[in-house]
Amino acid sequence: MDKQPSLKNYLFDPLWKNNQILVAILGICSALAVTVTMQVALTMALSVTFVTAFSSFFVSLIRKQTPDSVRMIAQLAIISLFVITVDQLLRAYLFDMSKTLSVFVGLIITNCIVMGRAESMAKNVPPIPAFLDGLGAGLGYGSILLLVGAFREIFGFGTFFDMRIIPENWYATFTHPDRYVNIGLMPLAPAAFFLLGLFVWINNLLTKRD
Amino acid sequence: MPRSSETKHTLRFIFILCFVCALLLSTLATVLRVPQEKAKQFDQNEQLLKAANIQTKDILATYAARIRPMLVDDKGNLVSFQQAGLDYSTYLQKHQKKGFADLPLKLIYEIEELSSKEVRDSPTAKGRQVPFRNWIDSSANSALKDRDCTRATVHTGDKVDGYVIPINGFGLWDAIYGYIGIKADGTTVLGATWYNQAETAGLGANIALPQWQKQFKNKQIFQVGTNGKTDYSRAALGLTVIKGRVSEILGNSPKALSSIDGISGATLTGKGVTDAYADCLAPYRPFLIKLGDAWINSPH
Repeated sequence: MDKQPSLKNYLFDPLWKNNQILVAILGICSALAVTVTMQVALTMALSVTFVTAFSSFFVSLIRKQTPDSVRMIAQLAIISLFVITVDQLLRAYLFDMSKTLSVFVGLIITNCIVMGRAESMAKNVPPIPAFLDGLGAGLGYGSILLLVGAFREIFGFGTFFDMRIIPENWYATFTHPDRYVNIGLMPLAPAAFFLLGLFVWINNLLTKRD
Repeated sequence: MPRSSETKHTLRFIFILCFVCALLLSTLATVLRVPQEKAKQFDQNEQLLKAANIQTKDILATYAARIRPMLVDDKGNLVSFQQAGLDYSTYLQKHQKKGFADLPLKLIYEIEELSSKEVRDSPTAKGRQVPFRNWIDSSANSALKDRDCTRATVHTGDKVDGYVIPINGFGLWDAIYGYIGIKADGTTVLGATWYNQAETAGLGANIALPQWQKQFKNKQIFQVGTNGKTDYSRAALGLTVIKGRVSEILGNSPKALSSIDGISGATLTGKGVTDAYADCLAPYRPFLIKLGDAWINSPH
């Protein structure tokens, strides 16, 4: 970024042009694990957006006081603060979801996107742009999560947010074995890998890079 | 900046940062403790009802109306908490971690038959007295009902649909806790759930999924003999999680009725589950035998 970007750019840049999953290939681990169904993907997307936005804000807020030698530890402490907040809230109010997500909420701490935004952006810019950048990065990540989740849930289970999309009577039965069958690969992790690869390719095609 | 003052600044910075974070987190944890406990308890009750094969929207009311904690002694007699002079919540708190199967008085939950009147009349049924009863009620309930009509005013649903036994054991990573619902015949499974586990996500953790749990229904915890009959006193007691699919490996043999499809990639969790059923059901055997005898002798 050579010239001073506007606030809008901070928010919209990481959504597509600089999408952290598609361009920087960060946060792949959780993108594989929690995109089996839409509900889980949505919870994860919101959690990560919350954590990235607020941790970026606070990392930026104390950037002038942070000694360079301990900046990563300081960033981690702030990130953990928000991750644990999310985890505790889920446990209290969305218990079933917290059981499904289990360790993956805690693992947001090690999600490279959060750390990456803190290290490459938040520690260099004022709090408001840092917040917007974190928000954009989280939303960019979340939208890809939802996209992958949509493909996996529709083709893997025939549902969307637990609502049946592919009608029950299209399915193959014992008497009509030649009808529609869910793609068995979709609920498995490799399916997310293929889908992500596809999206990276599309992103590369559409975005002209020097 | 001179070196020593820089170090001081760094230390002060880290100290303040950690202190603020810790303060915020402990405040949050304190504030959220009550809703978290509630959510956990709610989930546990829901899992118990699932194990009892009761489908309901109003979990708290149904739980209060239809599930009654009881105790089983070493000889297999049913004792109420009142008779044993124990308080349910203290008993629960004290033994929850290690499980109940090894205690002289073991925990069991009675599933009362659905009685619409009761659900309507006492949605919480909190102050309900636990009337005197023993195992024989479940078999000859109609006769006893007439004789003990005094207690019917306290509690109308006298017939017992079955029992839920708490199960605990060790999975691959940590202790696992669950429930198994047994019909009044003492052997047929109503359902099984695991409410607390920390197995590998996507592999062993699948024991907590309904897709896996639904195959427990109508399995037999007492292995059926080759003649098609169940010998309660001698048959192997428990459910075995096998490697692979039951239908492919065991076919129609009697063993298939006491076996569960394994989860590929979760052999050790499966072994833990098998052991948990074997270890936790064995102490209940005298009680289950009595249930079985009563079932055979009663008209149904």
